Amino acid sequence: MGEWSSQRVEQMAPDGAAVKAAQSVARPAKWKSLGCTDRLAWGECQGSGKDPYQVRVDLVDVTYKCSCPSRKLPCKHALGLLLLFADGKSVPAGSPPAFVEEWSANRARRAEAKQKKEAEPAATAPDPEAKAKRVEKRENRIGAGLEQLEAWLADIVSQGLAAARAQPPAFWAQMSARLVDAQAPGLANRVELLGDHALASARWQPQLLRSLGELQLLIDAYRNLEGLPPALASEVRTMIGWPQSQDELRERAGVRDIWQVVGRRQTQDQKLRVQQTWLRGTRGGQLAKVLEFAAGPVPLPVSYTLGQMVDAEMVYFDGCPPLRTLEKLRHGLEPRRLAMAGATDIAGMQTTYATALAENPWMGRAPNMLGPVNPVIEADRLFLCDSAQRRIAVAEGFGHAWALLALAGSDSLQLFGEWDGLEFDPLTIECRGAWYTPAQLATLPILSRVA
Amino acid sequence: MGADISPFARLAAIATLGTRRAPLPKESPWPDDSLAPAGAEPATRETCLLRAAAAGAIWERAGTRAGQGAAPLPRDFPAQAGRELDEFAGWRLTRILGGEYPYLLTEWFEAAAATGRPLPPHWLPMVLDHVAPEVRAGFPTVLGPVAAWLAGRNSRWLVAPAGEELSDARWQEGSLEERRLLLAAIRKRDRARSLEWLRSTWESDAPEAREAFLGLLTADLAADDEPFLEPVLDDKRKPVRLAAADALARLPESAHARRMLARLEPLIEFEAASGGMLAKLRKRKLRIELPTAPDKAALRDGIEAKPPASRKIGERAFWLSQLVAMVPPSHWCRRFDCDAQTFLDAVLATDYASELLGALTQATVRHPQGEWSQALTRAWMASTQETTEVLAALHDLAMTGSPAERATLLEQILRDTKPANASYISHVLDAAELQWNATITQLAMDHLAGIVASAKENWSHSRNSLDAWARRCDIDIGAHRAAALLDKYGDGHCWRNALEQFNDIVAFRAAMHKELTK
Repeated sequence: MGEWSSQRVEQMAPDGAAVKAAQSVARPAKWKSLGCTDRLAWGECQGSGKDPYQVRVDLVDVTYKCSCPSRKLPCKHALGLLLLFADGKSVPAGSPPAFVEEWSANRARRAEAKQKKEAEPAATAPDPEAKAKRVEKRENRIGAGLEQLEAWLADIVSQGLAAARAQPPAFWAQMSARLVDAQAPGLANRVELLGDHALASARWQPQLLRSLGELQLLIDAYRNLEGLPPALASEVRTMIGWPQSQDELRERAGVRDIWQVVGRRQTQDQKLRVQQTWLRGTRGGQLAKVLEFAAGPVPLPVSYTLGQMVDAEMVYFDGCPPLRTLEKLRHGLEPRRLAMAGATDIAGMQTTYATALAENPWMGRAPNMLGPVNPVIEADRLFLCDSAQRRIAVAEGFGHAWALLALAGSDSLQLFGEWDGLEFDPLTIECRGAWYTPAQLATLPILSRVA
Repeated sequence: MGADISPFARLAAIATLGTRRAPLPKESPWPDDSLAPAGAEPATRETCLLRAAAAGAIWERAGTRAGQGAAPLPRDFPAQAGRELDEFAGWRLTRILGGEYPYLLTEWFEAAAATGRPLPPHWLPMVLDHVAPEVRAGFPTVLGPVAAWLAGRNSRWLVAPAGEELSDARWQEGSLEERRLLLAAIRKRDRARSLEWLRSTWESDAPEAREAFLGLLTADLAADDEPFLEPVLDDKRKPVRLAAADALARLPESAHARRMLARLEPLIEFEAASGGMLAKLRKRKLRIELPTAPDKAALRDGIEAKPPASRKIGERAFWLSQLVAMVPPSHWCRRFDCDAQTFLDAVLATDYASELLGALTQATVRHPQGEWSQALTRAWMASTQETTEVLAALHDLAMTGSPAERATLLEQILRDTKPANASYISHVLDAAELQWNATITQLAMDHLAGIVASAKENWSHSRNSLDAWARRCDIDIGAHRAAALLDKYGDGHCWRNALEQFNDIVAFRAAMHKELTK
């Protein structure tokens, strides 16, 4: 059970205050009882009330339950218990008491019921005729939405980008809302981003024009869906906003491999927190991306940690190239490995990207293993140079330029990150046999070694 | 590149103006002629432009060449000697810098320096960005040679060069902040050169700079500073003059100090003993004469003629107290062959007791001496009224002297505690900037236990009211005693919150030291 470190626990916390609160609870003296098995950990923590809070954690599925009324999840008691567990000596092995047994049995029962339900889909199969009607209705709406969008784009070009830049945020938000009504949420998101591009400081003209052009291209492509290669056609449908049914995907055969977790990024928009995790198949060498979402106070799941080796069957969503996956079946975990394989030099990365761009012109950022490269800072910008004397810029948003320089010294680096054709955005850095990743601690951006 | 504008750039220029104003170009808008048929289908000018722009953007992105240029390997990158500090030490430091117990920063650095190990280099930019230069300059081993290397490449970061030559040019040209660091560094190595530096720019230095430099000199004065300081008594600005007078007064052998003593000497004398026996010194009275108006020379030496409006004191008593505040208190013990307590008792029996108590306190701050600190602290603690003046004096005395002297003072006070002056104890404990040894911690915790046991407040003390204690106490004893108090006094007790915070800080410190030695 050595996979738990205090860093991993801190990453689970919804915010810094929760880490602090958890640390004050993570003292054996605060607990009336503590215990663990291979799979479960539990304890009773004396809070301000009369009865102690009963805390239980499933260490494998990473789920938890606590009898405290906290709305911040995981609560400080669950985190505190995990911190104690992570130090490896405070929580003794034992047999679970009744309140843990009950919870664990309940969970097992629910999981079984869910599996059973999934096993018999026929009973509730939707009426195909009604479904076809719904699809047709949606197609009509999207068609109308595309026409509105095309006219709106033409109007912007006719009035001039400079005039569009002077528009208030509502200008972009309104068109975006109309596309939501037209049931094309993918397009709506793209239009929403246009407003940001218009207000970006440097190079806003080419940025905005490129995004407008891509939208026109998307309109053209959707109208000509039958003429496109199947993979690209489904990519276009996804970009418009058609979902792919995860239930259907689960029916497909997946790719079984030992997947190494090579990168992770968490982002947040107004409503949702999104966690992207990149895996690399150690046998096949293919990359896969897993998206996870959380809203409100619910924390992002901790299904993967960097360097973890997951023996699993992953199913790819349709795409061009296919990249997004879901985990269909996990067979187990293998010992962690902090070594990157499959890195290419700069020319290799550019060739791969250009080839992919030829197949999918909307290709934005593409994941890549890059190395060996050396960092260099010139005029306050960070660049990466390879042994063939090529150099590329690192994304300006990457706030760890100097840390990277100090880390590398006179050694070279291997990086996992995203390349958008112009800039590289590092997510995981390998140097002298250790991995490093950008993180944030107490509002300060740090580059920290993966423990 | 150059004059050859790409089709995409041309389209961007047109689109910025708008097709209403700018005509489409005569040249093909497509990045390559082979693409032109794709645009053949009928469409408005605007749609045409957008399609060609999309193609152009893709064309450029797919074909962008990487820049050429050898990676200049940093050959001068310094080798990090020996073992580095643990990664978690960096996390802990970040938490401190991020605002969690910021007052533990110095303790972190001192404990880190004690290991002799440097931080792993990838933490250094964060440290250089967020730790004040005067703090990090004191810990070159923690920053290691890589920090100086980085600072050489980023002008935002100023690292006082640890082993390198200090540059005359930087002294002449640097910012005030940089010059202060340089001066502090050169003082440690070559005092004569530090004075040469000061003389070389003194005429053109601004009054603020002069004051700052004099402040630095005062921190470690020696007789060789006198020739530099004496002429500064004639400076145009009063704060500069006063700073120089203060520095000179701290040099007991200086001409300035001798002049002061000469002025004061005739004014204070014990009355002749009636029996003529020296043994009766203890009961004799001190006769004090007030000085006449300060002459030009006295004014030059830093005596002020008018008392500040806020002080209720006669002019002549004010002059007297200024003279007393300049002279080392040990002088009186020598002159009258008595101990500090005896002289102080005699002073307190005079008509000028309160003025001279303050003056002797100032004198002790200038010329620290354990015996005097203790006698004066006891005298102040005997005051029945807790005025700001009393608290300020206790504060100053608690900050005075070597750490060993301060520790003795604290121990003494803690042992002498009487219920009447219990509230002063907390104040002195708060004020004395000192890490407590085991004895002081035990005594302080006894004191705290007493306060907590007798507390009857029906409101809660603020969470951070014991912060200063928690960051100074001996970790093991503090943790042990706090746990006992927490067990005894449950929720709802008015000290509960403060005790919990105390406990958290001590635990944080314990973890911090553990990581640093890992």
